[in-house]
Amino acid sequence: MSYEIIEKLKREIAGFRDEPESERIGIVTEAGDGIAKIAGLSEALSQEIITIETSSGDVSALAANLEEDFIGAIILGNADAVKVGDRGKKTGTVLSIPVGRELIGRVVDPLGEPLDGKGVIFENEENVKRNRLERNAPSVVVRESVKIPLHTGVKAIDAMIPIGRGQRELIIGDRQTGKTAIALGAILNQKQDSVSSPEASAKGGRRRVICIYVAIGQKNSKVAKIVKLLEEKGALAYTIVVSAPASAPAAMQYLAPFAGAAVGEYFMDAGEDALVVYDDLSKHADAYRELSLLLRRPPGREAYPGDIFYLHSRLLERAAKLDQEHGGGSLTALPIIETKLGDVSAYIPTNVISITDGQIYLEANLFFQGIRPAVNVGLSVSRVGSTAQTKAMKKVASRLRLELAQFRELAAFAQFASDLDESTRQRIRRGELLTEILKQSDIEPVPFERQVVAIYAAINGHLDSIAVADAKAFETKFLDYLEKRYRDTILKPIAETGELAEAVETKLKQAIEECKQL
Amino acid sequence: MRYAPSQYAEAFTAVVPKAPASRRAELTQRFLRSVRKNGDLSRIRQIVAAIERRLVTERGGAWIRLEFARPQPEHAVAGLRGRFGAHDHIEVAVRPELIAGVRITRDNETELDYSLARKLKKLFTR
Repeated sequence: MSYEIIEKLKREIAGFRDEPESERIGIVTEAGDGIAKIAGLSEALSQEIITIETSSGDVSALAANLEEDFIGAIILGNADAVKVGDRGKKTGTVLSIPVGRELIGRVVDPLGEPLDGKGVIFENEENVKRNRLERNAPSVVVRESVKIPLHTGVKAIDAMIPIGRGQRELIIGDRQTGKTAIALGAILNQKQDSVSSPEASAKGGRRRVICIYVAIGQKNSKVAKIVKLLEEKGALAYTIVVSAPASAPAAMQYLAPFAGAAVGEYFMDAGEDALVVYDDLSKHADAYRELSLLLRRPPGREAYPGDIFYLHSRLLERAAKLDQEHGGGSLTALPIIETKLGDVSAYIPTNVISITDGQIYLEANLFFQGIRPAVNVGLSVSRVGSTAQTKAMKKVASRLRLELAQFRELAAFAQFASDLDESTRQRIRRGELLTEILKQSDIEPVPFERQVVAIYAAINGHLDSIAVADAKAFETKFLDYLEKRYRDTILKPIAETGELAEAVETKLKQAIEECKQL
Repeated sequence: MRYAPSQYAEAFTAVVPKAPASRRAELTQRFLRSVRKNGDLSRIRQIVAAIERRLVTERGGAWIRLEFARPQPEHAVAGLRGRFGAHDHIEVAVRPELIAGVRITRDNETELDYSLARKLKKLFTR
């Protein structure tokens, strides 16, 4: 065996031909904090990968600042190994990540390296497709309007702030208000939301969505918990986790959402639907600010660099619904922003609010009042999702927002009034009932058809005779009853067709009355 | 405003070499005083290197760096020096990580690498 190896080596060496050629190089003149200043390399391209030859091996860097005499590069590998005097060479390539179906179920870093200890991802790396981290967003010509819903499994969202496939919907709120839980709920819900029948799929029905969860600057323990949850709930079978935790260098945190978008685009280009969650872009902005200050770019408002808006707009513009000529795939983005003390008028929140197609605003006060998910319906909006809402949901939820708005106003007024007329009391009670019905536990997404029937029962006054405190228990009992007795006649038709046909509605009314008798 | 070493070099080479020999010492002292006044004395090595480089370029020469794996006999280095122009600045350095051979760098921008380290690296990354 060893003889064979030696012979092979000899053959390799004998066949080795090397003619040194003149090469363009640069010399590291400053290195530290993950940034290298390289003199020379005057022909380097923006975002080009530079290889720095260090005493302990080659280290990659990303050309970020192109100046007259030097370039400022973000070190992507072992930054401690880079010393003044090391040589940097152009590679002629820009940053990319290997993409493919093999990534599903894996946890990777922004460069595509596995972090889950499950071994190599791609057996034959050479034939793997690579997607650039920075890619132009699809043009207007190849896009079509958002028309297929992406159900999150959260009643308040699917009913009042519907999200469509290809949309960008911001989840915004203070710390500990359930932002990640909503995004994770949306991922978990994809397991139960796809239509099973081929006819429904052929009609452009809801296909299985590939999910990408991008953790930016999160605690390692939180990322581990999320991966475990996804695994336990069977969601890792269609989910990819791109992780750049708090312990990762700022460069990795800066690249993570772009890597997530590049992976999502692979599925979008293949004609599939993908959902990418950026958790969270506040930390992403912080990482970019850190890099920019180290690169000595001029600081602007709150010390963020001047191109912070462009950073997020070019990332979120990559979410799109492609037309049928281009495969009909979609990439939906759910960016998350953490506010400080509910201040939505800070720099980064206002930027991202203006970029996205709507926002889900979570309020700490509601959270502590026990209204969970703590969605503030008044401040939340979805600008394009209503066209994607299913007919069944539209039918039952069209009055929901108005009813709740009236309830909030009347409830505030009722605090000062002792005597209320019957109709006002009725409206307040209905509002309380609806609020109760819209409550749901963390990370327990409710299938779309169950949402429809529950909201239908509440909004049409069928639950008016039930005490508000018992509403939740009745909902559980009612849904169990439907599951057992009316699975094929009520729930399945709604799930498959997305409509609440008259015949189904009649049966639903009958089922509600039957359940109330129990 | 903080000046870059290249800006100091540009200012120095625009004035000092063109001044009469009798005034050069005084101008150099004034230059150093302004460097100190600007708080850039800690970067004096970079400034001097930039001035040297600029002077070589202005003479029409190139900044050549010869790197060997181990110290070379003087006659071998002299033989190599003779192959470059009279205005070129030749700098010799020892870099053991080259293993064997020589690496020639011109103006910190272009290199010709005849080292064994490069050959081995290329062989194993084929």
